[in-house]
Amino acid sequence: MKKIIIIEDEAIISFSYRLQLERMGFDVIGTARSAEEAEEMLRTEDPDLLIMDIYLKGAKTGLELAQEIHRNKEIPILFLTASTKPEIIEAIRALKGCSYLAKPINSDSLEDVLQRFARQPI
Amino acid sequence: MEAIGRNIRPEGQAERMHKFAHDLRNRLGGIQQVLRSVREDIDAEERATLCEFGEKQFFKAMSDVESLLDDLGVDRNPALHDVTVVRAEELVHTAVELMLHRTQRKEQRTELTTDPELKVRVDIPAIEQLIAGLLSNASKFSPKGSVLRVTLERAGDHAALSIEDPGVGLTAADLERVFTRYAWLSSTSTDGEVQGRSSLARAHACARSHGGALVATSDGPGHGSRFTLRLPLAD
Repeated sequence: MKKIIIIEDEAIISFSYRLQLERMGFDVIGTARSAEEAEEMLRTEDPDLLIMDIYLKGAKTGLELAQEIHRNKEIPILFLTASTKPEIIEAIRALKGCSYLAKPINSDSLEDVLQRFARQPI
Repeated sequence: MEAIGRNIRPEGQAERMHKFAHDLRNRLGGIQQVLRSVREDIDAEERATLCEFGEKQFFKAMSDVESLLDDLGVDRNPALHDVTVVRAEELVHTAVELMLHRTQRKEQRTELTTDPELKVRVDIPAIEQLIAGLLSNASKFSPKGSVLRVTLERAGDHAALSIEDPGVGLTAADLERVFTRYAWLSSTSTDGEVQGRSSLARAHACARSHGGALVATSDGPGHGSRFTLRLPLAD
């Protein structure tokens, strides 16, 4: 079973993602609300995928966090973002192993992209 | 006088924003009413009606946002990334495999007819996602056990990929709005899947950004639908 960490600053949204992911058969091994919490979690956990918002609590954005994580580990990251600014999407696509879904997220699209992840790296 | 965005002149800006705010308040008000009502002691049918109404209000609100951004001329289409020459057949096979979880669950079969010679110059992940999205919709809006037909053929100097389903079909009004972001269409999915087809607007924009096109046809409700993606052939 693929292991996922959710990094999302809104607890209810994070909870909702968790329910959907678990129903799809993924193992959500943790949730973090900020880049700092995520970095702490990644010292001990070894997820197969991170699901991350772009704008998080704390000083760092999701994009900055992704760049730092990738200096140590090549973990695929799925960004869930409400931004439609082309430069944000282009920045995500420029990161190796990263993909995105535009918010609002519907469960079918989330399942489609995660099944893609389960079959091949994102 | 300098225009603001493509379609709004300065003198019309306040009026446009008032209209947007008015429409958005109405949609949010509708959603608030649904949230209040579902807490009441109501039966399952009333609850389903309320939830459908709430979802329609959500789609309308999203559509209002997109219309405003269109009127302001705000670009939301990312540039193509790593454009590469690839055999179109490979893209189709990958997309079919990516959607196996959906087609297998509904015991649907994908019938493929492809021309292995056709090559296109594309942003591979973007086009794979586009084709997978079309297959996902074909599956969602078709009954269990149905056959989805995928045909890749040469059409002049383009590769033409058609995805044909025997599903619920589209009305003439649906066809006019099918590539509009967050348009609420009359057709319903067949196994409780998410109703929206918001990926189609992005797919349409993606096809155009490749110099191609995406068109939808249907003989009407109950007669299935066909989506055809045309991409210029690589030299």
